[in-house]
Amino acid sequence: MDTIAQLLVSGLMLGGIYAIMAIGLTLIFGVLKVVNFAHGEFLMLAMYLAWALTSLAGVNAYTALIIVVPALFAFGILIHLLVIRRAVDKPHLIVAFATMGLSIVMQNLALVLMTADLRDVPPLFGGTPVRIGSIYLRAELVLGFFISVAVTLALMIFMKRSYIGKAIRATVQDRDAAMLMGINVPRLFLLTFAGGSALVGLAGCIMVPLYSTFPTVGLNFVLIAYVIVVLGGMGSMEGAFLGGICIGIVQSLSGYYIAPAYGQMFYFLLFLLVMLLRPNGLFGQRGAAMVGINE
Amino acid sequence: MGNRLNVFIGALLCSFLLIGGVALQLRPAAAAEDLKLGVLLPFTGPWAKNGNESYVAMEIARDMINEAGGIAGRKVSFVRGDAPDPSAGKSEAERIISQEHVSLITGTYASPLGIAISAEAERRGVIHWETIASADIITKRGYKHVFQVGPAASRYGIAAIDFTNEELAKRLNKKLADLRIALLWENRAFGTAVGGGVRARAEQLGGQLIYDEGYDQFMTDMTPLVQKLKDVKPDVLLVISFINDTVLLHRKAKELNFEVPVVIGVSAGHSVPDLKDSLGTAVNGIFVSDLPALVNPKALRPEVEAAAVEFNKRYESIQHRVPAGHAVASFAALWPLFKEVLPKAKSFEPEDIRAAALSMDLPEGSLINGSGLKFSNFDLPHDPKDAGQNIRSAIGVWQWQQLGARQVWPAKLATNPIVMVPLPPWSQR
Repeated sequence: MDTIAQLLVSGLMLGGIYAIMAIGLTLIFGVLKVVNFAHGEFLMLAMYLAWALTSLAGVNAYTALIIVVPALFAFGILIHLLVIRRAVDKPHLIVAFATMGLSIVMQNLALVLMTADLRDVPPLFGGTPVRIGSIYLRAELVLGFFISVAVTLALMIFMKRSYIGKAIRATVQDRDAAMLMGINVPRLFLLTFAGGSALVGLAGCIMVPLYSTFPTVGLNFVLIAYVIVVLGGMGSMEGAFLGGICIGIVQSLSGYYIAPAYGQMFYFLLFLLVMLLRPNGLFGQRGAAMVGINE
Repeated sequence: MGNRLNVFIGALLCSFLLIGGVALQLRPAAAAEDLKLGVLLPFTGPWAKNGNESYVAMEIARDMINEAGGIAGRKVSFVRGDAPDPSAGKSEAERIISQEHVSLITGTYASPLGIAISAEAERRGVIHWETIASADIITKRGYKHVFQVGPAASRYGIAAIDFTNEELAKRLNKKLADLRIALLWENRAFGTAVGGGVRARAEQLGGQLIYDEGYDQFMTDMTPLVQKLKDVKPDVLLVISFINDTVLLHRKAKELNFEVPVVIGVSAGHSVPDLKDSLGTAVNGIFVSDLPALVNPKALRPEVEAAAVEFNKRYESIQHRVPAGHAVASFAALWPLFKEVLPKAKSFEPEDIRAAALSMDLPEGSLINGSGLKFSNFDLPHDPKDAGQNIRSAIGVWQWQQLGARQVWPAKLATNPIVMVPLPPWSQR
């Protein structure tokens, strides 16, 4: 019983953190209908920034948020103007290759500038775990989870209530119709891409105390992020959040009860099942899976 | 008349060609051409860190031999090839062999790279001088041009069990047969090969593995693994892992308060100097079954010890840290190639280099990590298919002490005594 509680809680917390990383991707995916293959490298950049601020300025990773999130927003604008905007109306392969190229450039730049050394930040409270009954958790994991939940809730409200949120949802449903309704779609693209990047900035700050930072760190997470996005339904934030938690728990339970070597296999199995039974994902709007077919 | 003119022009052309030919022939003698060697290492990608460190060590060997006048009057130069993964490594090897006309390629750090790249060298009839990649299969494919200077992977596992048997059992007041040994291995070439060595040796000596589990090195959550380890309560935990998963594993062990009296890592992840930056003082007390790095100088031949001192000095001034086992092994593998093998080769053609390599019979202590040099050549009684494995390569166990690596086993190579058995609880680490 203790074991299953530990596995469920650990999986839940980690899933929440996976989710915040996937929400940025799902927004970009849903609105721009582009696959950002450099998403993992955006995470890597955010983690390096958070690490630099913690080790150079001596602040903790959560305070570093104040700088990292706007910095990634600005970086998102830059990349959108330089790369995405030029590729967004072209065939899908062009965007795929452009962002893949960007990913390789960023990885290798990081390798040259930062070397392949692992970078770590000192643990909060000397790394002593929080203990709830028989369950042990790192303070950073709990904190990261609650930040993720809070941000997801805030974003959901924003999407429901604000004009921009409504415009984003309209664009996810039908880009052309949205444009006809007077939504400034190109500006919305810019905003969404930058906003998605800012969310990765947030994910980076949450993850830097939990994981080491190195040039290829993004590769370890980006696959999980893609699975979550498709699982939850492209463009759906609730979907991404629940998808993240699903993956976290599946990983944790299958790793324990079946075999750790098959952890990845099981969430891909889950992914496959969802794809076959609900091609639009758990929460996807109709047509969300049509990316790439219409164009 | 026309005929005469033709003869004249023909003669003129011939003499030009002749003069040109002689001049061409003379050119190498006048300015001895560099002896080019191909170096294939992961300069980018997930193995880049250790790949780049290995290259620094190789450059030091190259510079030292060139400062001493080179080999037979020729300076050594490297042609670099990036091998981030096996297929990229294979095509880089192909390019270097066909375009740069090298007779020998070296590298490669990781087993999957070594397997792919050595196959390419064999196919082209070029020598493959493997520095570190350890998969046993590298020398068991009937190849004639592949030499593996470091120990085969299974020997890392054998060393871990022998060390447990000889040194740890008595310190834990148990017989090997009563020790609860858990084995965790990353499920690719390296982990599989080393794990095989652990299992075979444990069975041979009557030890038992109460837990034996493979995992994916890119796993992002170690909770299930650590939870399972908590259930089985091992006395000794053997871990075959890479750096990032090593950090995640120990952090999760601390988070979930998993206590174990002894941890033995096998090379790779546990031997990277960065581990101390990631884990802090929690790294102290962990044993590492590995290529020896800094060995007892008494175990080395005097001229080899001098090379070791010079290498360490240069490495530290470039990298600002002491070399890890893989860096030492990279130098250790090239130095006898430059000092012993190539000077004895009749020419720098692959077949002559091969003959010279097979004639090597250097005793232990001839390489800076305590190894000797003698290659198998389809002549091992227990393993007749093996060729090109250095049967005198050194392997040992070192321990993280005061955030540094201290050789503790075997006694001949040891520089420090064994401490911290059993490991103190997490609150005191």
